Amino acid sequence: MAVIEKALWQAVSPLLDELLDADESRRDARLGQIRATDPTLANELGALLARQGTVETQQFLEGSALDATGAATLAGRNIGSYTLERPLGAGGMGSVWLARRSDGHFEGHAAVKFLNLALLARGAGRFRREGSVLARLAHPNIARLLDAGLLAGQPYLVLEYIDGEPIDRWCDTHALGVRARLRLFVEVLGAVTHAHNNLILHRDLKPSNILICLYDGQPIPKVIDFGLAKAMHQPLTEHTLYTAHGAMIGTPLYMSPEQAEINNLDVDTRTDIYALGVILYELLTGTTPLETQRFKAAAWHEMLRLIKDEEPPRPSTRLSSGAVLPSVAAQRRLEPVKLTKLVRGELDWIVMKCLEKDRGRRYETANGLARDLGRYLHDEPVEACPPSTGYRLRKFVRKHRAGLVTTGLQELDARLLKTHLATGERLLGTDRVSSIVIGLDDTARTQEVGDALALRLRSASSEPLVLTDWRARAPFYGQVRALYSGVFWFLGGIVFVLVCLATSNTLLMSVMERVREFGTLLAIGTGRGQVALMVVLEALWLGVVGALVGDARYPPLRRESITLVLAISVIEHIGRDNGIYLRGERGPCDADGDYTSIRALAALLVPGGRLLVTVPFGRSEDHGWFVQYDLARLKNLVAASNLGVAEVEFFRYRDAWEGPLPPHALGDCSYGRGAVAASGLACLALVRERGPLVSLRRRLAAWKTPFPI
Amino acid sequence: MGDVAGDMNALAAALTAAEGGDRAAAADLFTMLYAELHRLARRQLNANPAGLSISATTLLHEAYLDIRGRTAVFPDHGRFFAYAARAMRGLIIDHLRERKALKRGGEFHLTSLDTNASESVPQEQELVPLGEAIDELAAVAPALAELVDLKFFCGFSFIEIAQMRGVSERTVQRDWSKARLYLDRALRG
Repeated sequence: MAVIEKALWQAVSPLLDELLDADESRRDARLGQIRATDPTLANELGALLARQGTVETQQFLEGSALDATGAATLAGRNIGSYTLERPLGAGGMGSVWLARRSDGHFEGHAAVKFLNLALLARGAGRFRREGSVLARLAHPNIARLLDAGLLAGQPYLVLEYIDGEPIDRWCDTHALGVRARLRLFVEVLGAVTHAHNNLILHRDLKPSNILICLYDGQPIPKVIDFGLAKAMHQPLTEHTLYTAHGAMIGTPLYMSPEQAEINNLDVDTRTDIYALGVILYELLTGTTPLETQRFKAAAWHEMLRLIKDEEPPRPSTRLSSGAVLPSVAAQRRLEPVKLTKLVRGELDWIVMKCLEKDRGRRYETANGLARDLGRYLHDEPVEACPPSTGYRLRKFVRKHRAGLVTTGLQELDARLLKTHLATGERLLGTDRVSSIVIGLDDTARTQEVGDALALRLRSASSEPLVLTDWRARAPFYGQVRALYSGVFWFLGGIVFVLVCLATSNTLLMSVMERVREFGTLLAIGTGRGQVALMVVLEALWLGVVGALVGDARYPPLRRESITLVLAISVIEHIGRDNGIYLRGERGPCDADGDYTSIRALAALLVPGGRLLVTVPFGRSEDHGWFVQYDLARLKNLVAASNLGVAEVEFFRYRDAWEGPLPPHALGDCSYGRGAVAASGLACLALVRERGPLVSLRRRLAAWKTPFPI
Repeated sequence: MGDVAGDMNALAAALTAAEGGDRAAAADLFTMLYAELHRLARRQLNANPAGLSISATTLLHEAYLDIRGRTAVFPDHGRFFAYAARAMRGLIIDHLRERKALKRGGEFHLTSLDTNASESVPQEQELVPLGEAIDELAAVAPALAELVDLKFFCGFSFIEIAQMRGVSERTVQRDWSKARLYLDRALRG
């Protein structure tokens, strides 16, 4: 007999998710709300939550059952000429012990590393061979491999014991200035160069593998665990077998894009250069290029995507936007402003050259990086330089090779939304959709959708963020919550939902932040969904500008995964309202500029990009003229840009004008690669009413009545 | 004891039936995995009579590689761990009981890799009722029970479990909180 019955638990569980994250006042309020409808449920929740305090303070289940089994200790055991003293640490790779030389010949300590047997897929023979390779490394800044062997089938390594502190922490605790940090880092590069010359990669460079110890009062960096990843025959990304169950050796924060490729075993010296770039970034800014917090929240595949796709901000940008700047600067003995200024420019370039996603653009060798840092330290011009505008533009366009989809959701109901999401998913691939923008300006519709979708996804694992500009429309909040949980259900992925009721600069900036954070964007416009279009177009435009001028406040929308689904009836609104929504007071529009932003959008697309236009029609006889007018304008626009048109969708308003469809309503739709498709409920209605799509297409061909503008 | 191929066929059959909801088959599967883990732990012990300890995670990895080497019963390690973690729990609890009876002897040692042992090491006598409470939790919320097996009995970290399940670390932590609340309730009334 369970203490909580299954049926009850199913109600309790999602609410616990919500309440455990809430602060006390919100929690009480929410419990009260639940109590009003279901007192039993509320009591159950209350009783469980009341335990949270004791569970925490008593560390209930905090340890491990294994601790109770009385782990046999290795202390006192002899390994070769060493005696094990105490464990130093452990991880997925195995455990490390401090050992003392015990054969009487020498005094001194060593670190003995026992490797996790399961990681040695190729067996101990290979391990021994690798061990002998590592023994070749002899460099004052590399911890030496002293011995390696097998103890009862358990492989071990005996390594020079370094009683030191990780380089990042050491630099901070000693408040080392930037130049001193760089000099220390150049010594590290000497060690890496030595190993690379011996054809040995580290593959797992990170601050905790670079220890600083003092010899005669002088800080000496020592790189440890050289080549271990290789010796273990543990490609960092072979996680299909190993890393996914916890044997991940590489720390994802330092993992290069090529290592994040699944089953890509092709790594080279430039892989280490990337990790060195991350460390240098950290020494300068106190943070890693990709932020730890985000990694914590991200599932594994998302983490890999971030590594491969996310363009990190330059160090100076990170410094100037970071809240912790004063303390970071103090640890470097500088005023915040001076630190940012110092890093901006050459150091930025050097670091970013290491962090290039395309390894062909990184430094070839650690020595090359060392030489460039040397030039900086000697105030000579550095080799690294910011990429040319042309290069950046080309790269930008290439990255944004994307389909562009505009769909109109004149009437957002659950099934229509689903259809459009399906379109988006088809074009994007589900896994690429990580963000959604929903533009709403019609509370009644939201209610409808919210009701339809409510309850679907109470147990969504990542809570979407809702941004609104709704201006004191508080009662609306609940509906919005229901809506986004519904959307989450559709996509089953990490979803970010943005609800815009109106645009404003503040909102736009928030969007940009979200975009920077989440990347992919799927925009769904509803009602007069130009809001969503506005936001996205402006975001795109700002992204172009930002990329060109290198202003990180306006990050480019990223990568090929930004297939945009601009869900809006562009044509209707631009046409009928004479472009008013895209013109005027906000943003970078030119004088006659209703299409400026669309041009910006178009600029992102290479020829062959896809444009899916949804044409709403049928509201009135007049409306047909608007549609045709719009289509013609759109045609001009498309001709002027490199946009390709892949699909044109038609749908009919629910409150459609019931008369026969005027021929001109469909106008000249045959531009681009114009395969005509239909989607959405309204379209289904249309099909029911007017026959199958084939005939619609035929009629389209027949109704070519160009409309001059 | 059947031959190895026969064992593996039985394992495959039990897995299929268990996934189809057959409770008896699930119990069989558990018994087979238990035997496999036990065998590997023994082998370690024999190879190393002085009692070099083996970690629970290593044992699981080994069992996975071992079974996978013979048959493709488990298409992925995630599924394997889902079942094997339950067996590991049984192994550890039995091991503790046995040790209590024997005091010390030729038994094997299981350790957690994580040497940052918590102050609140569970008492042996608490583990048996805990095992029962987890079985109960498994009937109500199987994923939470599995999480407790992986975390508490096998010593996997949140991040490792998150990777295994393809979810975020935060999700695992939240599930962990829920599981603890449930078990605390079950054990302490």
